[in-house]
Amino acid sequence: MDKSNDHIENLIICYLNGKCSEVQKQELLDWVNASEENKLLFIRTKDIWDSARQQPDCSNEQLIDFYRRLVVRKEKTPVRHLLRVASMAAMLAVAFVAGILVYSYLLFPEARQIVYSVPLGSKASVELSDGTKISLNSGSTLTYPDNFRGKTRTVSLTGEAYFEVSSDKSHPFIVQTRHFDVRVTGTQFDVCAYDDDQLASATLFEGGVELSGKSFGKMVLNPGERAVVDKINGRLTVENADIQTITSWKDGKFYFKNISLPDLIKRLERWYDVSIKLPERGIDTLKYSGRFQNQETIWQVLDALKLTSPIDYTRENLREFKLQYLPGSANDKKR
Amino acid sequence: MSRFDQIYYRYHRQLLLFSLKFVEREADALDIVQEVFISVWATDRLNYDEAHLKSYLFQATRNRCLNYLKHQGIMRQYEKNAALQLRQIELVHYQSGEKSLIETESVDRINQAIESLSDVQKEVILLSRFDGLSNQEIADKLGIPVRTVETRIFRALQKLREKITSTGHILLMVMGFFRRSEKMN
Repeated sequence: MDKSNDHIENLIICYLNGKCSEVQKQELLDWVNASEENKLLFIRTKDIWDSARQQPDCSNEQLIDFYRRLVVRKEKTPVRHLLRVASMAAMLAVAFVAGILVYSYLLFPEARQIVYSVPLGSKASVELSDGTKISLNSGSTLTYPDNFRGKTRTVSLTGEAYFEVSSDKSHPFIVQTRHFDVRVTGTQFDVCAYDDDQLASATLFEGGVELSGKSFGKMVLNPGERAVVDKINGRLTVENADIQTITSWKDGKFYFKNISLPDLIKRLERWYDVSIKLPERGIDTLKYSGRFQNQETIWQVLDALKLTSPIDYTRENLREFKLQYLPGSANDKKR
Repeated sequence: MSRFDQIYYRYHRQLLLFSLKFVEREADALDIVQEVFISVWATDRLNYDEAHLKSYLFQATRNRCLNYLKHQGIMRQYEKNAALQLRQIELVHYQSGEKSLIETESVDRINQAIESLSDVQKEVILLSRFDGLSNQEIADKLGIPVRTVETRIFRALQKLREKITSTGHILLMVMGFFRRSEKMN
């Protein structure tokens, strides 16, 4: 503490006031790290500052917000709400990606970030500078540097992608999504993290991956396992994966197994680039399994749904459909 | 009022203040607190005795803040972020046992301590912490250099801490520092 006490006092208060330059913050950090005594003085001074913060009590409105969140969690079909959240999330994601771009241009003009977006109704594949191959499903966005520098190889994803990561033990490959990060050294896996899905998942085919997320910490996934994160309650479940179903999309096939109607509809919307309105109620218990070869038209798929479940559809516009629930129809009993 | 609502009203402000120590964006801090309450909602944690429940709530808040900071660290991995590191150091410190005044003291007690400061010290604390003026704004208002304002605030904070915490070597150490600083003036 030889550096004049006054100087450090001023520095601490300047920092607490939020007016410090980066250089000053670094100076404070160095001083805090210099001794246990310094660290305690900083932490305790900041603590009294923080505890005297003028913070209006907002517990009333927050409690209402809390119950609102619970209601959304309990409803089985928070579709419209999710869509609203999804559009906000999409805006945030755009802002976030734009932020990263600007940021990386400012600090690392040579490490350019490439944003690769696949339109709805199509698929694409990308090969990265390290030889990693990535297949991207409809409506997905991958952000990656033109050249990997630094200790890790980091990309970020919204949507679904199948990764064949080229092996490099000393440079872990990290896929960031909005809900979890996947860390590997060399392996094959599938990540499905669309912004407008309630569930996000990672499936491992070969090798080993480590998953980390805000809601569940860290976990290791074994080959053949699929980890599913529920974005609404943050819960993580691990199940045995149906490999054929999960990877079908990258071979142009459309397989699905035991999924809910809202999930199925979302996939159809991405796959065929159409918009399909769901019925308000009555669809909670419907589960679907099926195999399409992607030769079918959207009409044929909807006809198949109509034949196997108590729903009907009408076309509202060129690429817009609306489903209706028909309770007690013959179809209902057939199932 | 349900037991849950009582707990919510009793601890919400404290947990929010505590989160704001580590999480800059208020919206994120509010989210963290909601998640903490979700983790006690409709569970038998509601039946914990008061002390146990309180320590659970603070511990859960700490863990979520730490995850949040780690996530920030991943996001800004290219950035050498001193502020982020300072927050992490602070948070880790609270995991090792010492409790924040936010956890141990009531608003009333902190306000009483502020009331009992000398007029000069009370003035800067009220302008800074209650009126939300920046140090520069306070300096302009009082017609004194900003460094003087900073020094005054620092001394006032030490005095407050001294008044609030009762005894122990912590206090002596801070006072020791405080006296040395006084002499230098």
